[in-house]
Amino acid sequence: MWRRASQGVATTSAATPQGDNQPEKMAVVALAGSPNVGKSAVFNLLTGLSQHVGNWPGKTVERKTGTCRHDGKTLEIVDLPGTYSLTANSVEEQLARDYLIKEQPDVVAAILSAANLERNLYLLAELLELPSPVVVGLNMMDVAESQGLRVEADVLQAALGVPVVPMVATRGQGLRELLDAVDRVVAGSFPSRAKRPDLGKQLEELIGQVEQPIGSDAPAPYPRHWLALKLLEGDREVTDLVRAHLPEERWKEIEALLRRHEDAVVAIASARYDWIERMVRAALTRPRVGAISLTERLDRAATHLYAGPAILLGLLGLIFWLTYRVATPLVEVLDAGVGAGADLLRATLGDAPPWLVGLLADGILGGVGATLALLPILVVFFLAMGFLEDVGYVARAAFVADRFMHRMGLHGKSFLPLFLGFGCNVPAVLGTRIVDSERARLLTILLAPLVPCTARLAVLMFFTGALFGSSAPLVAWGLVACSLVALGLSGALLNRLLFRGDRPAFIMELPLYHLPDWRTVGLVVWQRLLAFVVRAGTVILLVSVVVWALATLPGGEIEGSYLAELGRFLAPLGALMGLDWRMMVALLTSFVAKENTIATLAILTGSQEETLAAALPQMLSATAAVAFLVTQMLFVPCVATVAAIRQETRSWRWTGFSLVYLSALAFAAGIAVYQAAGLLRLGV
Amino acid sequence: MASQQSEDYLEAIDRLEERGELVTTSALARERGVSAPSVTEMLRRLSEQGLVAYEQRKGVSLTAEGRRLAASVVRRHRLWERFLHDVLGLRWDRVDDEACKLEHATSPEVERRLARALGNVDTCPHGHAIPGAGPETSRESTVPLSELEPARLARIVSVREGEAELLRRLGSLGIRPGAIVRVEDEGDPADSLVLRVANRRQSLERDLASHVAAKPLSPEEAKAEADGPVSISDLVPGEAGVVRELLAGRTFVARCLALGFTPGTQVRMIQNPGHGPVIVLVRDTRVALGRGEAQKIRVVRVVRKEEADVEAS
Repeated sequence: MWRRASQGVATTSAATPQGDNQPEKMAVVALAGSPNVGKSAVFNLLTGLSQHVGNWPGKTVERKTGTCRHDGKTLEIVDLPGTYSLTANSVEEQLARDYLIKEQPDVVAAILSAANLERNLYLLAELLELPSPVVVGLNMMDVAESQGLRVEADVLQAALGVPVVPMVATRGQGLRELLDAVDRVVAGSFPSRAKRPDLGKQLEELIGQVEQPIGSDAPAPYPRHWLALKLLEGDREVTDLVRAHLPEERWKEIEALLRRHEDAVVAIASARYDWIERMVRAALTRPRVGAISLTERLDRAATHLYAGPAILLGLLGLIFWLTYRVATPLVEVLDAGVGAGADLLRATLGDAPPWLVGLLADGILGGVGATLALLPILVVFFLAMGFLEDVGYVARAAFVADRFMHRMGLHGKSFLPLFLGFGCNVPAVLGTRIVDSERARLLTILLAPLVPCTARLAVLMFFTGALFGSSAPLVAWGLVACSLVALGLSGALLNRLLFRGDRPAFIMELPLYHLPDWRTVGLVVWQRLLAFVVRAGTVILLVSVVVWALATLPGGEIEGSYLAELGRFLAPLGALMGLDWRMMVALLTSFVAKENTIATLAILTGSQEETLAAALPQMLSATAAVAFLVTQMLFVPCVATVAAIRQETRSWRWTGFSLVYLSALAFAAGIAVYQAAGLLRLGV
Repeated sequence: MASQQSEDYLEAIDRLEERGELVTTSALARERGVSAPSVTEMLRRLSEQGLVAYEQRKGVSLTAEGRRLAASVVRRHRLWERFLHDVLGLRWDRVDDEACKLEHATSPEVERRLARALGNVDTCPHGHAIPGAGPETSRESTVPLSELEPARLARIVSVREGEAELLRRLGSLGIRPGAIVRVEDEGDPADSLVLRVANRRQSLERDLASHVAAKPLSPEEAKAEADGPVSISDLVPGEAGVVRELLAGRTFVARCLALGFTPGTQVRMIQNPGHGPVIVLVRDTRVALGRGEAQKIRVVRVVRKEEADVEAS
């Protein structure tokens, strides 16, 4: 129930009462907040499995929405991208504010961290400039307490004039109260009205001066005061918008004002922080100086000049170890299951035409098996990444990585998407959006496919497991290292050749360490896994079938198939690497999905995966196997990654460049390894 | 509990003492804005209560009990001034009068809550120490601005409250506690000074300047100030600096500002190995900065308090 009547008549109504006339309309609540405030935990708790993960229109930034039942009403929750401010410096900031201005949600729930109250209130100061009423969820009260900070929510509420609800989202505390506050604001029964942050007389006068030439011609949903403010802050998007909207001479007037007050951006930020200091004055009690926090102690090691990189590498090693220990046995169980399924299928379909049995048992089930075999590995990787991200370590990894990343013209921030690349190259390419500079982003995108993704690693592990016995982890580790060296060299080379000079700004918050919220980690794992299965379920299956068809048609024999012809055509190139046409075909089909290498070989050799493992040592010498794996690791990424590259670069030229560069690199490296080994008389 | 009137007198005596003036009947009459005979009458009553001692030559002084009561009322007064100024946003020339009314009606519990709500404050908006809130600023180390040697850098410690006109004038010149000033030269008319405050030359009448207490900077502080801004990356771990300016790049400046690097903000270096990125603490947040970025944020070194004090003594 909306509790509008019982709360008494509001003297100064905070919001226009809604829902009375249209009881059907679902109230929309936008979740806003900076990164590292536990906003996703709040979103996950509110929406659970009702959430829908998509993209913002025309953008590659994740858009999460969901619904939530509260007191018999359904609320629609929109999770805005995490931002520190609302000036269009990044796509996230632009998306968040466009949504707030154009869609005007019924309530904005600003999730702030009590542990970084001042800095978090900066975003609130910006939110209060916009038309939607605001409710503050003061999250991480426990973290603040552990830092020795005492924050009194009711005092803050009195100062701000908006509801302030203390929360510990990771323990599920405060969510009901947050929704109650949302209800009250939607119903217009919250008694006080938020004041726009007072920026001081001088600035307000200046804003008034800028507002004047805009007059009544402010472009549609934009509040005039806000436009003036953003013009003074030098916001490019707003500048272009207003310039396009106003008659020439009035724009000239504004331009002259802006030129005279070029440093207004600093004055405005300072004024906001002055306002914030007044607001937190009564609500925040600071700790005694001298206490050393857990974060400080952990960071002494995690960001240490020498210990930091060691810890980073150690953690990566631990993830690999976990994959071998936990995931590999599961993969074997799944493989056996798929094998048994294929046998069962053959037995039941005894009388069916041979092509149908082949299609089902080899084409389809082979593809399904290849997909399933990857799931345990993905779970381990996603869990590990989610865990490191949630406890706050990933930012330290970026800090540690900056030392060597900047040699490639990249900054530590690029490390994050590249790091994600170990899970899958697609999120790595999409994740490059956090890199501020366009050029560094492009470079990161071009380098991302060189990070061995889970699928490549799975192939790598399958081959090394089949061919190198007990030294498999060592060979695998060496090949991963080889990929990373290729990545480093490519970075330095491409940076030198293509974008000499420009370096992106490396400025990044190091969040306080905190206990992971397993629900958030779990949901992230689930979503990523689901996305993978959906993709794998379609693409991999399709490719399995197509490859089976190519390998079967026209005559029914693999040796005479179209695929074999293509493979034989490429055989001279393969010979330089010690590879026969089947290996070349396997490599080619990896373009559609990396894990297809195994599925293809399984089909081409007419075996299941476990029998393939047994058959491999007869097919490949150790040297040829290494050459193949080197090529496989550096070869063009899967088609999904290529699509992501096209989407992010918005250019077929760069996408094409990426494909050509990676193919050349892969074949050159493969040939070099095989020929060098031959010259040195290594291997068989 | 002393009456409101007694509290006002005790406060006035304390204020005169703090300024280093001889507390006479006439000085008190001037301070309180009443006639000399009523002051005499009141002093007699306070003396009977054992709160003040009066000697013809030495003037009025507070007894131990009187001093305790005076400190209590001064504390309430200055806490209220802080609250009115910081939380309610009243101008600094308005808070004295308002606090005078509130101080008497403040129960010990409200006083406690007020102090807690304000956090770690140790002075009123005019720079006077709040009794019981921190170390007293020793008057010996400060000099009236009117007597500051030319060319010597000094930090404003406090300004005399009570005269709204004076406070408005000083405020408009940027003369507030914490501001760094230098006497450029004796003014053209001999009764005024030319000061450099916040990089602007200002002229101030000598008699107004005598109401401002300043503390000359220690050689380290003066050096940090004279060196002007340095890059954040020049700070060593543990060292602090106050942000002065942000160089270059609209996007970068906007990002810095949103993260709290606004001019006047104190930042502390946490980790700086001499190459590669650094970690600084700004507004309770640890922020990693690439070296190039750290070079674009210019700060003035803050000389650690104990060092400055050792230097000064």
